[in-house]
Amino acid sequence: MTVIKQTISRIVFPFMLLFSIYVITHGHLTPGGGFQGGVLLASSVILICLVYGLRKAEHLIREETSHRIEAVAGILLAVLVVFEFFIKGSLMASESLFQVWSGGAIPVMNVIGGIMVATSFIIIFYSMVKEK
Amino acid sequence: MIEYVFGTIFIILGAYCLVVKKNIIKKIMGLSIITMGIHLLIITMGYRQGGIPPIITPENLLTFSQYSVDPLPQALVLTSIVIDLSITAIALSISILLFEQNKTLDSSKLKVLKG
Amino acid sequence: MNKPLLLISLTLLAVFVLSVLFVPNFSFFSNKISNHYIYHSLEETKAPNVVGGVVWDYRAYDTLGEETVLFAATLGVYMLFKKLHVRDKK
Repeated sequence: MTVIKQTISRIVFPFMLLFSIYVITHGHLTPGGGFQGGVLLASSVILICLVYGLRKAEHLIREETSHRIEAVAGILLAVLVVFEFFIKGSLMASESLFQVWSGGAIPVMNVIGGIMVATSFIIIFYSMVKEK
Repeated sequence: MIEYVFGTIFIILGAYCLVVKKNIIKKIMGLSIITMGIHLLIITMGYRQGGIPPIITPENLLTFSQYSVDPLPQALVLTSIVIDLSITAIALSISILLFEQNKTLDSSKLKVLKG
Repeated sequence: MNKPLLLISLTLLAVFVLSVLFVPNFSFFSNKISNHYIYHSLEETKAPNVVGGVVWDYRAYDTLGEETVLFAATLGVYMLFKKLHVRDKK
């Protein structure tokens, strides 16, 4: 890829990462949530993989690491959804509304759902791009 | 109602793509277009006259339940978008395997089962 | 395409579009459960985002099923491409 694309994507990449974390963690206050933020997080890694090649993107996150993170997030999400009725009031308990540290079990599930969707996208893209 | 026509046009165009075109990748894109038309139709059905988005802020606590739009179709469409992505990913990878075996992407030349 | 197929498809297109065009105007909700979600969403789930509360609290099992579908699709794509790379190496 040309020098212009490499320079611009190197500048844009931290802002995409920060914006995706903002969309995930403020999922119970503004429009957005787990899935939208997870797609943004995966898009930033895919941008680096498109512009710099697969070998440089492996320095960010390898494929075996993504497999392990996805498995752990899947198990945590299943446990949290099945027992959500009992631990609804005690996780992130606070009496004030409209704050980030409030809202029951919803911010925790947003973060775990976002991680799972992001790693799934990364695995699908790495499988299609890898040669030999 | 005039605003339901646009989602219907998406569905009809997607069905045309799925049936008439001969390339396999164009057929898969037609399947995805049908899904997008259905999402548009469902979300348009939940509109309300003079509606605001279903987010509670400190300003509109009192008049929220009188003006907001329907939140249930939006939640169902969120799930459906991810399912559409999974279908497209597996269909495209199956078409790559098909190309490796038959050396062509033309659907009118696929006559032989694997043997 | 030949003539009868074109005629049948145009008739079906006209029927489909006309059946959507003459639907009566409803400005209240035709399902009563959206009223319950809007009225009681802030005090049961303490989240101001009503759509986020519906997706993660009232209909949490639908989200769990969708994550299972995504997981199975990722596994399927990974295994299909592994078979492709092994076959190329031979």
